Amino acid sequence: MDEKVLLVDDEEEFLDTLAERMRNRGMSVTTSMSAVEAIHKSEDGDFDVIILDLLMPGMDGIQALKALKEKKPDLQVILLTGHATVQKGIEAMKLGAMDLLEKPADINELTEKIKKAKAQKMILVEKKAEKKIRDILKRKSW
Amino acid sequence: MKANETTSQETGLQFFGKLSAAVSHDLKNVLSIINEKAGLLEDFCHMARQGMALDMERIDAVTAQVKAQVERADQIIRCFNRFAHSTDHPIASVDMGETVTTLVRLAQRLLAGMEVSVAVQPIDPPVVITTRPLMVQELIWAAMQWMAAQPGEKKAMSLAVERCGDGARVLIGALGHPPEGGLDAAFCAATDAVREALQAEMHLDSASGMLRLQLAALEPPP
Repeated sequence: MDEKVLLVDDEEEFLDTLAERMRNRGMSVTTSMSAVEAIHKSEDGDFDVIILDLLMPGMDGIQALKALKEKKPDLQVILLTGHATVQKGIEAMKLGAMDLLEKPADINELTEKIKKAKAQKMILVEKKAEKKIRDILKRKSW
Repeated sequence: MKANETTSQETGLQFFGKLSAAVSHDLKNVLSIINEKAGLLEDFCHMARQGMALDMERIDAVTAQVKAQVERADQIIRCFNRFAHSTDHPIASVDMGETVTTLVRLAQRLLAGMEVSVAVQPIDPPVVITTRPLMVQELIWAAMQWMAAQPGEKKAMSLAVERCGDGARVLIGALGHPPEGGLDAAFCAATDAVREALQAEMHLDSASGMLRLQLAALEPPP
């Protein structure tokens, strides 16, 4: 089953090339050059994971992460940064990011993390479905 | 001096550090693009080994893109080298046009982060003055940041340099939305030490919204 990915970065050449390589690996990839556009696209699209650049003009990755998680708490977000520090990593994890990768990123490592993100999302979706069923059963007292 | 006060040496270092960090980020972005292009060529080779035909035009295009990124990185490093050498001598002859152009090029990512675009007006003939190379850039950057922070929807700035006697005048204009009100006290206080060292004056023309930095020619070193 192909992973649905939203790739967000303000460097167009980086975005287009990485998207092509990810599609060659069987993923379904949507791209966005700004955090604001990405937030709109995430509302309409049912993405397994969002790959988000940390430093972008206008709204940066951390602000975008906060906004995305507020709208869709189950969303899996992987941050990409030119300079990964422990402090940034902690801040990102506290806000709910799944992982933080330093650029240039190795596509095999990124692909593994995307697969894990999809698996994590499926677990969360299943848990929600189970809870719904339990709630229904409780109400009906069967 | 209080513990929380910053010396002019420290502000100079902070300015140098901020621009250096912006350059390192830009270079990381270039490396990321080159990394992906190289990866794409690897992918093509892998697909060719699986029996797929090689698209030679595509390969030519990707290698041309790699070369363009190498050129981009070279430009960034040249500008950064010029900037780094502005610390060689405390007082020196400074080509103001080249200095302003280099500063804007290096600060592009920072400016993009503030959603500001800057147009440097052509400067011909060159305006060369004796001044403090790093400090003059620090003052111009502080002035640009202040202009960018003024309220307004579209942030587009113009930067021009004029000869003024033995000295020079740097004109920073906000296109479309000139700043309202005068120069605030905090900004003036923050630039006091640098302006004193440069023998510079700062004026905001309320009619045109142009921020004018008047730089005196300093005594050359013996």
